Amino acid sequence: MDVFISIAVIGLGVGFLYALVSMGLTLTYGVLRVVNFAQGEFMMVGMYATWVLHEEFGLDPYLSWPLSTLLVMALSLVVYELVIKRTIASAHAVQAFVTLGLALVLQSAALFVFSSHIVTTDSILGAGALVIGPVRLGYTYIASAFAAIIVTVLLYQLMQRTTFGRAVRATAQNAHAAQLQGISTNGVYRWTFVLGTGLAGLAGAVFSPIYATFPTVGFGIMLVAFVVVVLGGMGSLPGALIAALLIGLVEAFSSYLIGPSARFVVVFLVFVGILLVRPQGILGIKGSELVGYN
Amino acid sequence: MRITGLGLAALAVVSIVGCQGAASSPSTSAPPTATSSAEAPSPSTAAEPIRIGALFPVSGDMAAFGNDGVAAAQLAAELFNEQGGVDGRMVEIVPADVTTPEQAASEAQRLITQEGINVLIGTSASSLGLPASAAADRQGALYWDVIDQSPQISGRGLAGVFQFAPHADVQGKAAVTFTADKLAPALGKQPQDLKIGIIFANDAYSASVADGAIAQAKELGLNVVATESYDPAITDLSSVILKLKSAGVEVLVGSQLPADAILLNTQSRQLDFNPVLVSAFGYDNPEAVTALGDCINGIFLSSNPQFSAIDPTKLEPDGRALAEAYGPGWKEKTGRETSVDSDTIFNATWVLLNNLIKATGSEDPKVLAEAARKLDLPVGSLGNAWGVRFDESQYNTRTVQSINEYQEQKQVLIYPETLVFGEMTLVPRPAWSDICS
Repeated sequence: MDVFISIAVIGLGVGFLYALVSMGLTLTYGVLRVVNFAQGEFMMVGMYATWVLHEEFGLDPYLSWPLSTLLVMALSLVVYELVIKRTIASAHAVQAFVTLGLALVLQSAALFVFSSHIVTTDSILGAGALVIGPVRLGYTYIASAFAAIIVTVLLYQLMQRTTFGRAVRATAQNAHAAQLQGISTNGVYRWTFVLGTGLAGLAGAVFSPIYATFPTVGFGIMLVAFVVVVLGGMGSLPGALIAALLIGLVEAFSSYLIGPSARFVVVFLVFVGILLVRPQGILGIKGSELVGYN
Repeated sequence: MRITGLGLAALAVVSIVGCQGAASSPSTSAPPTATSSAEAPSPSTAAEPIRIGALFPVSGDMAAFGNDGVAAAQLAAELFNEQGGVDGRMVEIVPADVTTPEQAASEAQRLITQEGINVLIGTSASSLGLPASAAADRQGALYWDVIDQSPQISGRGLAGVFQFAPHADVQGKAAVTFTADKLAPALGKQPQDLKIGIIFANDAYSASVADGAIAQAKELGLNVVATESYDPAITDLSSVILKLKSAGVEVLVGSQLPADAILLNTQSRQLDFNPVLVSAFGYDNPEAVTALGDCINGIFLSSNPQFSAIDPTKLEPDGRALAEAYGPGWKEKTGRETSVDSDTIFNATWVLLNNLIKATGSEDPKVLAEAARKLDLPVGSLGNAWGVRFDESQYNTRTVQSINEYQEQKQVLIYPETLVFGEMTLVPRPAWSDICS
């Protein structure tokens, strides 16, 4: 029984990490209708930014995360203006290829600047764990859980209670009508993209003490992130959080009961099973892939 | 017509005589090419270098390994040239960047057909070595595989392909043999009473290591209580660690990628899982030492012997001389510490230059291949403690595996006894808090 409690706790810890990466993807797709295949690479940039701040200035990643996130957002602002803005009205295939190309560019740039050698970022939290009876949970996972919960709450408040949030929701529902209402849709797209990729950067900062940093680190997480976004319901932030936690639990239990090499099989079986029963995702609204953020 | 026929016959005779002349005096002819073996030899000059193609990934994910490979080969050539080369002809290493299997095949072809190079070495990844060696063999070139460990390298019956490094499963076998021989007594147990776990990343190399470990455990009648493989893209090993902990694993034999190796160590500490770990891959790199610091102490590595951990007095005189030239030479050339890969590639390249090309005075792939099949260098003849003797599949059977233990963040060779330089320290393992903070 103790073991199962431990596994559940671990699964939730991993799930919160997936949530951080996935929510940014949900936001970007929900508003811009752009599937950002480079989301994992923005997370990778966040990890490198955190590492540099640690190496050069001795900053702990759990203190430097605002700076890492801002650096990633600055980069994504440039990327939006130079690349993404020009694909907003393009076909999905064009957007897919553009963001895939962007992912390769970011990976190659990281390889050029940092080489292929892996680097690691230490934290004062280190390998310490909270011990409650037989259950142990690494401090780093507790930190990622806090980050994910706070981000979810803040994002929700931003979307529901601020002018910007209303503008985002209006643009997501009908960009033309939003424009007619005087909303600058280009501004909404810009800052939503920056915010979405900024969340990936934040995830990178939180993730960096847990896992080594190297140019292709973003790839492994992205596969799961896409599953989370669709499973949660396209454009649903609370849905992304619930789906992420569910996937984390499924991975943890399947790794223990069957074996870690079976995790993708089980995850995709659950994914297909839920979508067969509920095609719009856990908290999605029918047709939300057309309506967008909800 | 008769005159034309006679003329053609005369031309044919001259060509055949010219060919035979070229074949019988290879040391004085220009380096042969695969398409020009029937042509008359061109006049040679003493200054014309002997060119060896070096196929390594010097860009991309594997760049760190590839650059070490090129540097090691170049160092061997430099030391060889300092001794006068071959009748005054110097050796030149011609690097080619190969990062994909397709590129490996095309670059091998290019070096042979366009650069006229008929002796190739490579590649730091079996996925690259397999197509490169196949392409080389098709062109009649010699492919001297200096480092790749897939059994398929030598398992395809290609006459021009020689495999210098051991198959990956040998490292798994060595880890288990060491466990039974040394760890069990140190832990106060009979080998059959030890609970052994095996964990490996699902890539070809690590899977091969695991196969060797499992086979050897079965051979020795050992108790393997858990065998876990995982996708290399995994970002969390907590559940696996809990499973191994629940199974009561006391000795864990593993092969990971460097990032997973660090993750395994970190999460093992978080979950207070503290078996003796014998690893074939993942911890034998400076990044792991930097990341883990003192937490790497007590980890055992089953690997090709690392130069810095070998006691040179245990080597044959030739091996000792090589070791004494290699260590300082490498540091001066690269500014880095040696690595297991650079050790292996340097020694493999040296054998090619000194024991094949210089000994035969030839660059003809067939002559070199025949000489390689007859090579008989005892264990300890090389700076990494290996010997050379190829079996009928052209696989080197005189490699030696060593077990090193990390002590104060440095590798100390502790097994086999023929090479021992130090003794085990952290067995039984103290608590994590006593090993590192």
